[in-house]
Amino acid sequence: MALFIQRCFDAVANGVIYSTVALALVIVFRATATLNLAQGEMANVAAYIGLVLRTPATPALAGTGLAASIIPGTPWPFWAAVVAAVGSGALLGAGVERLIVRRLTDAKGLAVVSATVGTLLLMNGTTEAVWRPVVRGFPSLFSNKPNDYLAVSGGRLRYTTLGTLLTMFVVLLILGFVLHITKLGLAFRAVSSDRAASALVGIRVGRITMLGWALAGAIGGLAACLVAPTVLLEPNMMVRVLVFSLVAATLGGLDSLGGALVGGVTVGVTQTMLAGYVPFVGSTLSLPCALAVMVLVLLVRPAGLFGRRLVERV
Amino acid sequence: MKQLPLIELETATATRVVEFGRDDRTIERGSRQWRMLVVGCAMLAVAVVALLPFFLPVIEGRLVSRVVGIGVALVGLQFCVGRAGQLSLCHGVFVGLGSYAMTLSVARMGWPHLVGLLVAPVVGFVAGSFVGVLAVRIKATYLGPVTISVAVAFPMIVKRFSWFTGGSSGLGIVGELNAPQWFASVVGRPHLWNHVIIVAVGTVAVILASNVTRSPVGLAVRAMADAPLAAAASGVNLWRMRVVAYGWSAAFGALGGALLVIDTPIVGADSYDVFRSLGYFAAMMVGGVSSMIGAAIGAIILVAVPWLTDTFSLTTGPNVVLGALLVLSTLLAPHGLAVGVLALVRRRVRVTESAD
Repeated sequence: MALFIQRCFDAVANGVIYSTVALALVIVFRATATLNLAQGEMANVAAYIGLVLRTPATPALAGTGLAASIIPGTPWPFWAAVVAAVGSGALLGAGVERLIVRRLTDAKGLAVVSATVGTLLLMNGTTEAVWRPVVRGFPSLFSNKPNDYLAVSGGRLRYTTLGTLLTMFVVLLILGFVLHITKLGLAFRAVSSDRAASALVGIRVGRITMLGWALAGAIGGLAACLVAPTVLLEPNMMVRVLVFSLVAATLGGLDSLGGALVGGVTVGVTQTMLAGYVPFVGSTLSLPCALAVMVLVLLVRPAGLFGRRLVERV
Repeated sequence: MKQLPLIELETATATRVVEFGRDDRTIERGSRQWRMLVVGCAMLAVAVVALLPFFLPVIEGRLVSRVVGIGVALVGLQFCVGRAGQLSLCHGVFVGLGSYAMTLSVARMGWPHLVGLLVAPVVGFVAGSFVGVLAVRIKATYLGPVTISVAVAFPMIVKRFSWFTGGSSGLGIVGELNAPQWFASVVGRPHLWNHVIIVAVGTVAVILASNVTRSPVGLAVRAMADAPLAAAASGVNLWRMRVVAYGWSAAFGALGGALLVIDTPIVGADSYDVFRSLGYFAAMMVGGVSSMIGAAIGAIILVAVPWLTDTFSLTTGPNVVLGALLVLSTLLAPHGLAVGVLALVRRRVRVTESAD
C-alpha cells in the first residue's frame, strides 16, 4: 500500500511536468493552429541560460565568462536566474514566431511543420555545440534535502513535488485569469477562433499571435527549470519530455487547457504504474505504452478527450 | 483577309515568336525526343554514380554508396509526404527496420544477402501499413505527434529485445558479400562489388518507384492529396490509399536501410534515434518533395553534412547545419532546391505540355 501511494506521488510529479509543457503546446496551437515541435528545445536553451546566469565564471560552462563580463551582478541568486530563464524562454518563443513562422508563405501544413522541425534541429545542435553533451546538475527550486517530505500513510510526498504542483496551479490560475478577464485574453480567444474576423474588428492579429508564442515559451522555460533538477540538464533532456507532453496534449485534444492538465496526469500515471507493476514493460517500454494509450484514445475519439470537433463546410 | 479577334491575334503572334525564337530547344512533354532526353540524363547519372567510387579513395567511395542507399529511402519518404500529403516524421524507423531485417536475416537466420534484400521491403511495407491504419482514423493534425512518438519509441523497443537485436552494442554481419572471381581479378578492389550491387538494386528501386508513382495507385494517392472529397466521389478508396501510401513509403525506406547495411554491415539501436527520422524529413524538404532530383539533393546533403563536420572536426554536430538549412529553405525556397535545378534546365530547354 505504501508503495502504491509512493507511486501515485511519483506519477503526479511526472504528470505535472508533462501537463506544463502540454499547456505551452496548447497555447501555441490555439494561437497558430500548429504544433510547435521546437517547444522542448526552446525550453532547454532557456534552462541553460538560467544555469549560466547563476554560475560563477568557469571554463567548464560556456557563456559564464561572457556573462560575468557583460551582465552586472552575476552570478545571480537562483530565483533571479529562473526568472531570467522564463524571460528568455518568452523571448525565444516570440522570436521564432516573428522571424520564422510569420514569414512563411504557406502558413498552414507542411511549411510550419518543417519550420518547427528545423528550429528543433538548429537549437538542439547549437546547445550541443555550445554546452557540450555533458550531464549537468541543476539546483532545485524548492528545498530538496533528504528529510524534506511529508509522510502520507507510508508514502513520501516530497516538497519539490508539492512545489511543482503548486507552481502548475498558479500558472493555470494566472492563465485562466488573463484569458477570461483581461482584454488581451479576449483578443487571444478571438484570434484563436477566427483570425480573419479578428483582423476585421481591429485586433492586431500578428502581435497577439506573437504574445501567445512568448507566453508558451515562458511556460516551457519554467517547465524545463522544474524538470532539470530530477532528470539532470543535458542537450537532449527535453526530447523525451516533449514527446510525453505531445502525447499528453494530443490526449487532451490540443486546443483545451484543461485537457492538457488531464492528459499530462494520465500520461504520468500510465508511465509510472506500468513501469512499476508490469515487469515486462519496465522503464524502457513506458513510452511505447503511453503511445499505445494515445492511439487507443484517438481511435475512439479522433479529436482527443476534450478537443472541439470541427465540422467543415464543403 | 479575315480579321482575327484581338486576343486570338495576340496569342497567335506570341506562339509564333516562341516557335521561331526557340524552335530547336522546344520539346513536347511525352514526345519521343523528351523521353530520350530524360532517359539519357538518368542513364548518365547512374553511370556517374556507379563509376565514381572506382576513381576515389575507399572512404570517399563509400560515401557514394551511402548516397544511393539514403536516396532510395528518401524516394520512399517523398511518396508519402509529397504525393500522398501525409506527414511522416518516423521514416528513420522504417529505414531502421529495413537495416535490422537485413542484418537479422543474414546474421541470425543465416540466409543469403539476396533474401535479406527481399525481406526488408516486405517488413517495411507491413510496418508502414500499420502506421497507415492509424492514419486512417486520426486527424491530420495529430499525425505529427503520433509519428514523432513512434520515432522516439523505436530505439527503446529495439533495446528491450536486445537478446535478439543486439541492442545498443549493435549486431554485425560477419560473412560479407563476396565478389565473384572475375570482378576481383579485373578491378583489383573486391570491396567495390558492394557498391555495384547497391547501385544495381538502387536503380531498380528508383525505376519501380517512378512506376508506382505513375500507376493507378500513384494517381489515386495524388488525387487524395489534392482533393480528398473529389477523389472519393470519383471512386478512390481513401482509407485504402492512406494505408498504401505509408506502406509503399516504408517499403522503399526499408530497402534503402538494407542497402545501407550492405555498405556498413552493423546496426546499433542508438543510431536510429529520433534525430535520424527528423534528419530524413529535413533533407527531403530541403531537396524538394516532388521530383527524384529532390531526393538526390537530399541524400547528398544527408551524407555530405556529417562528413564535412567530421572532416573539419567542428564542434557542431550535423544537426545545426541541417536545422539551419531547413529553416532557410522554408523561408527562401519553400518548394525545395530541386525546383531551382529544374528552372535552370528549363532556361536551356523549353518543355511544352502535350496537346491532348
